[in-house]
Amino acid sequence: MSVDLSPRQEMLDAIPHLRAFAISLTGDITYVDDLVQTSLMRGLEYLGKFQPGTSMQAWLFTILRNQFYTERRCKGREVEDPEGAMAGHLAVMPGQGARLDFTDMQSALAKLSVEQREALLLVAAEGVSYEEAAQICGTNLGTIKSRINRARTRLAELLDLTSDEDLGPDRLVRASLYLHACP
Amino acid sequence: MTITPSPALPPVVTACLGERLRAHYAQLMKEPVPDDLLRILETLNRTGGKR
Repeated sequence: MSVDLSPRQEMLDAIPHLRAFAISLTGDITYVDDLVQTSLMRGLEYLGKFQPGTSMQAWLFTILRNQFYTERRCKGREVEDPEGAMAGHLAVMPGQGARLDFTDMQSALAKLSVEQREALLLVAAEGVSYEEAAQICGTNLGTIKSRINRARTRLAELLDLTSDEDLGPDRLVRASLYLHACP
Repeated sequence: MTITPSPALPPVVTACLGERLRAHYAQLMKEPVPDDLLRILETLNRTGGKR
């Protein structure tokens, strides 16, 4: 391995990100490695089309996402993890205290539409820009922002971070308790 | 386009959500990468970055 920025190294670096994205996107850890594998092979196949200097990770995310949608259409694969069952298949389990948070989050994510989930994961968890997320998801900036807003609102409801009451002291206290509960 | 903006969440809620999402994601990033996936890239290694 010569330079850190060789395509191979960039692809290697992207793998944990691709897997984390795919796990939280599909909620199905047994399917994830097939998906990542196919995406990497496609990446290799079309490597000539990759523009050096742009983000390899974003490029691979785009490939993975397209692959996921294609397979979903063909096989009618559903994305559900209502009981948070996926967490049981992880090799590295969250620590005792964080486990409930983890399963809560995974089942809440599974209740979002797949479009909202991918947008939120890319921007809020993976940390890509709104512009990049729009590009990866093949849509425009306004749609991405709207999906993320809705996803946040829905997730806050599902995780009980909001209440129907107006912004009152009770809600603020609860929200701040959650904030402190954040690892 | 029919985009209806959702009411903004209180900043503290947004911040907490962000932290929890990142923690969730960080946990998933800890999962070991299967050797099969690494082997796919070996072809790239041998030819020095080219197929």
